[in-house]
Amino acid sequence: MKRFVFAMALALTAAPACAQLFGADELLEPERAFRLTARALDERNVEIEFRIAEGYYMYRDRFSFATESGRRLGGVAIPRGELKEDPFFGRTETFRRAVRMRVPVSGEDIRRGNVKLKVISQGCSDQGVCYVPLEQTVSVTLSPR
Amino acid sequence: MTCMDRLIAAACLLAASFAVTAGEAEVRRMTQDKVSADRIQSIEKVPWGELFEVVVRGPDGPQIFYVDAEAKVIIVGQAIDARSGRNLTESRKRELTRVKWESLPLQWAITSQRGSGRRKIAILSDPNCPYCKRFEEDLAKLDDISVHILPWAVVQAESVRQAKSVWCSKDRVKAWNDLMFRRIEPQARTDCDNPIDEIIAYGRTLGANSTPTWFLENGERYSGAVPFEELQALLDQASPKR
Repeated sequence: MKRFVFAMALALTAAPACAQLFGADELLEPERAFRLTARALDERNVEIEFRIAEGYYMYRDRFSFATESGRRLGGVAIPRGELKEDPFFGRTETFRRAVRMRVPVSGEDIRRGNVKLKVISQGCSDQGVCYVPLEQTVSVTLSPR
Repeated sequence: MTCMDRLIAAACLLAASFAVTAGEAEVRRMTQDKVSADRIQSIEKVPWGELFEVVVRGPDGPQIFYVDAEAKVIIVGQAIDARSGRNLTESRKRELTRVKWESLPLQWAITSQRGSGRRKIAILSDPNCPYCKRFEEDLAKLDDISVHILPWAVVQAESVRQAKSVWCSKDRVKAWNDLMFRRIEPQARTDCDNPIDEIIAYGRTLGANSTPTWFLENGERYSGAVPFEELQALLDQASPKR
């Protein structure tokens, strides 16, 4: 019984520290909240994946893709997000947990066998902040069939 | 304290300071192998244990690491005071990102005052950031406050046009609040002399990467729409009654 009481006391005193450790206190750097990976799907498509930390979300209409030189890439297949009808900000679609997108690459990239993509994204945390748009660059080796 | 005690104390202090400098050199050497010297902001022994704190300048402000005195391991994470539960790393970061209130470019702010205006806050805020809206709604409930809004148009391309138009409006406070709280688009032109581009650059030099980012009179910097009670407590703490 004594041991039990001691364990309880320890658990109680440790509680505030644990709450801080695992609580919503610390905001992640955007690169860690929205983890970007890329891989070649086939010889003309790259798959971009964002793994989104728990409690964070990304906006569907804020993704944009460009080549290294800054040429905007179109025709990107982005799945439908979770629809939110906000009386203030209008219709928004957001993603939680993860989102995968297919980016078609140019003939020139295909001939070169690799592609460098600039990915711009934007998201927020449920803790009450929105990040400024994040620009990241990924390099992918294209797999010939 | 007897003379002998004093001598022993002095000897201990001396020994301790030698140990510190020795460790520090190790830590510095190891750190310089990993990051360029100009990115190392400081290396100091922590006041709470046998570790060194290494502060490295990152794109989003200072990053804190801990290193043992022999520079064998780098610890990445948060130090929590086991007794009080206080996040020591977080408080230190707040100290490092502190600004001088007087240095804030409040001439670029949209300022409103209620009551005595005693409690002061400056906010980097974007019209397309939902949490900025919530945060400003909370501030609007408070009396005895001066609110300085620096329109930091970074979330969307559209934000820049909106912020410039607000700045060019005859009544900036009204135009900003109409946009923030009622979604009434500002109607003024956008080509008047305005500081919006300068504010964007200014926020970046501070290493801010999220909205809302805000500052209190004591120079402390925070991110996010914190709960209302917490906000009130922080404001009172930073701007005490005189």
